This record gives sequence, C-alpha cells and structure tokens, in this order.
Amino acid sequence: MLTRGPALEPILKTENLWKVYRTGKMDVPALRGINIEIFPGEFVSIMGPSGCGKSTLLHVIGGLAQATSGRVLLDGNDLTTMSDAARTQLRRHKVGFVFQRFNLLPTLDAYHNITLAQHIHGNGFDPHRFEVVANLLGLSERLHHKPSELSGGEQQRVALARAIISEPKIVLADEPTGNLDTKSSEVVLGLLRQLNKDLGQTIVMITHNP
Amino acid sequence: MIVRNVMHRPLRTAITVIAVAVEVMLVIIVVGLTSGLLFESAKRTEGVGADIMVQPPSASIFMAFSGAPMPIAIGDRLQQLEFVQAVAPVLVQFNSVNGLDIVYGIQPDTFRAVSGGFVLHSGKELEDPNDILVDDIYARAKKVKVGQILHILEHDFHVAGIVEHGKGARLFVLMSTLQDMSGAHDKASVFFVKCDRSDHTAAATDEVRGLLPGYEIRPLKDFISLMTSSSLPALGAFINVMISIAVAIGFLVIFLSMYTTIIERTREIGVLKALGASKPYIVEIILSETTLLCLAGVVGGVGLSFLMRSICLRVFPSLTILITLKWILIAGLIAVVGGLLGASYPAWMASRKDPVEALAYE
Repeated sequence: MLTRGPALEPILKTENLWKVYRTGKMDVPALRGINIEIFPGEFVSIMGPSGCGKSTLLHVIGGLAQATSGRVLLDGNDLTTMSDAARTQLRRHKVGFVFQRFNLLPTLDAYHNITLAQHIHGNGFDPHRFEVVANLLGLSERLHHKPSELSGGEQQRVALARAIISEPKIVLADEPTGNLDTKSSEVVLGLLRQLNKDLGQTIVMITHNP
Repeated sequence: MIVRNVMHRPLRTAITVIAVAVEVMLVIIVVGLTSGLLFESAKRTEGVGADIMVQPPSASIFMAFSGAPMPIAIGDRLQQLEFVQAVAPVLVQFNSVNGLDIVYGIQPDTFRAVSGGFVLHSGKELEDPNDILVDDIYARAKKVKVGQILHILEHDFHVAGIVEHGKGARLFVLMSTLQDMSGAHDKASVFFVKCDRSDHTAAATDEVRGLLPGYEIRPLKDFISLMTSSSLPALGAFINVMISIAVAIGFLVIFLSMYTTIIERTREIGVLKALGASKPYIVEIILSETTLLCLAGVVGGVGLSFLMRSICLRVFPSLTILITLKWILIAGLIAVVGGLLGASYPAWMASRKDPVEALAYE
C-alpha cells in the first residue's frame, strides 16, 4: 500500500470474500476469505506470485465475475447481490480497467478507443476531459494511430486514457507493465502515480513484480 | 466503429455482400421474369385490339391451357349481337419444339376485322395452308427469315412473313391448318369480340353473358390486372420456393459470417463488457454491422439485377424481365430481415459471453 487518503468511507470493501472454481468434481478455491478496504484517493498494489488469485480478486471486485460467498461493496453497492445487468451498469459508471495485454480494439485508432468508453458510458463526448487526459498521458500526437501503429508503452497509455476518461471511482489495473520493457514500464507506473496524485484517482494495481 | 469493424476483414465482407447481392438478384430476376412473361403475354393479348374475350366455362386465363372446346358457330351468334362489330375465333396451340411458344390459328379476314391487321415487316400474309407468320421479336431471337422452313408442332411451315409484334401470339397459322393438325375441326379456343364503340363494352359483355351463360367473358381492358402469378397457383409456388432458397442463402451466409466474426472478436467483446457495455449494446453493434452488410448487398443486388437483365435480353431477346420498384423494395426487405435473423443468434451469443473468459480468449 503506497498511500492512504483521509476519507472515512472506503470506496471498496470486501468481507470474507470467497471465490471457488469447480473443475470437474474438484473445487478449487482462488480466494479464501479476503477482507480489504480501499479508500478514495489511495493507490493500492496487490502483489503475489502467479496463480495466487490476484486476477480473480480484480475480476470479482470489478464486477466481472461473481463471488462464491462474502461481500464486495463498491461505492456502497453490494456486488454480490446484484444482477449481471446491474453489475455491468456499475462497471460502466464506477470502474475503469487496465489490462496487461492493453486490449485495445484493433479496428479503432487511439482517439476512438478512448472515446468508445465515453460512448458506452452514455454521457457523450466531453472535449475538455478528453484534452486533459490526452495531454496528461502524452497522447496528443498519437491519437490518429491504430494500435498496430503504436508501441507497447503507447498502447498502454491509450488503455489508461480509456480507463479514466469517464472519471471512474476506481481504476483496476491488472499487471499493466507485464507486457512492457523496463523503460515503458517506468513511464506507465509514473503515469499511474501521476493520475493518483494529480487527479486523485483511486487505483488498485495487481503485479507480481514489486 | 461499425464501418471500421466491417472493413476490418475486406474479403469476408466482400463475400458476404456478394452473397446478399445474389440473394436480392435471385428474387428480383425470378419475380421479374415470371411477372414479365405474364405482363408481356397480357400486353400482346390486349394488342389484338378486341374489347371482350370469350372462353369456354372454367377456362384458364392462360389460353394455352384451354384447348379448343367451343364450336366455331358460336362466332356467328356473337356477330349478331347489337353492340358487336366483329368476332375473331382463334384456335390456340402450345408449341414446345425449339422453345415454348403459343401459336394462334386464325382466320385472316376475321382477325383483321378485330385487330386492324398485321403490320408486315417483310413477306406477305397467310395464304397457303403451310404458311406461318412470325413476329419481329421471334424472328430476331430465332434468326428466322422469310421463305425458310420452320419446324413447329411436328410440322414444317413456310415462313410467309414477319410482322410487328403485339397481336396476341408470336406465331400465326391458318386456323383450318391448326384444326386439321389437332383434330379440332370446327372448334375454337377463344373468340375475340370487338364492339361497335368502346363505351358499349359493358353492354356488349352483358349481351354475351346472356347468350352464353357460364362462359368466361372477360373485358380486355382488365386483362393485365388479371394476369398475375396468383392466377396460376403453380407459378406462385415456384416464386415462393425460389424466394425461400434465396432467403436461405442470405440467412446462412450472414449467420456464418457473423458467427466467425464473433469468435474472432471474442476478446474485443470481453473488453466491451469490461467497459460496461450492456447486452443490448453488444447486440446492437452486431446487428448494425449486419444491416450495413445487407444494405450494401441490396445495392449490389439491384445493380446486379439490371446487369443480369441486360445480359438475358441480349442472349434471349424474346424474354421480358419486369423489374419494379415494389419488388426491389420487397427483395431488399427480405434480404435485410433474413440477414438480421441470421445474425440474431451470433449477436445473442456475443451478448452472453462471460467477460472473464472472453478477456482470456487467445
């Protein structure tokens, strides 16, 4: 945990969170009674070896997967009691994802990959917010390039922009530097810190590399 | 995004659009060909110049199917009616040698009295029992010239003349010759009746109905509207079968295209879900892409239809292919609706993908 904000109410809270996968007749627990609290403005890193359940935790707290038992409270909403449609709506408005493999849409250029999130969000294009984010992430000159024309670091910066463009309550980053070289990794980590510091963005980052 | 997605795989897009275009063309051409033949046949029947057509009871509007069950003496009784100016008995035969044609057996004098006579392009009128007149379209299509022998109805005819098209049939022989050939002595298939004034048609029709109760009495000004595929049930079934085949082609191609698209873009769908895209949003994307493909196919299909018509008419000049706005719209609608149905399962499948599994898809 790098920093802790002053707010009293956590933006994310899990209580005795379990996630069990069933493979054949075997039950494989990926999360065993996880309890965490993350407050607004915090930058939290979750570290551990491969296969320890980091990504599963991220999927559950981000509403992509349903917990087996326990509770996940995201901005006061209990994800474990919500329908798939309600969790989708919550993700749309309160969660931003950054993935290890960038996961940009290959048919769209950087500009449209970023504005796609605004389009799905439903509030329309906000040129001021777009300009702030593009400048902050140093993307202004690369907006009309497709992912295949961008370096790994640039692609991850576009993915970061896409994650924060709709001002989510929390950004969940799944090994965002895992596919980058050392220099690009430092740039991306620096940008994440800057987003946290300048915009007060709450960030949960998973990594196996401390 | 929709356009970019569609253009991402140009070959698959091109094949899909072509398949939809073929579907549209198939519908337009099949319907155009059948309705064109009916329309053209009706126009030619109207072109005889009569006001009323008299056929035996329960006779088909398609004269080739009616045989010759009426005594020719009926013509004399029709001629005596108050509002009747002229009556032309015609014996109709269906020829299936070297193509499908209707042959009119006529009496030159009575046929001239009703129709105003033929416009000769070359040669002369019917005189000899073995003479035959062909119209200019038939002559051009079959490369027939005056003086040559034409083998139809298992008989060798001498081409006496080439006449302007539009007088009922494309081939005309003497009625007595056709009666001898078919064993229908003193019989006629149809009587064309010309009234003394066109505004007496209704009164003359009533007169004929009084004289020949139960017979099929049809004013010819309504003839075109009666010549539809519904008048010939087998033709309607044929059109429906062809349309069904066309729809099946479009449905399957769209289904396959969108199914492979969904498989290929599994991870992208996972990303959209992670961004908060709802199921209806994902379905909308897939169906919008399908609609775009179908619309491109419809435009291509309409163009292809006109190209095909042009080629057909060059190869078979006697054909008539009627391309109407109504059937262009119907074919377009069939293609779009069929395409959307074909894409509905892949779209539903995409919307139900588990986001975690989709994001992990290689």
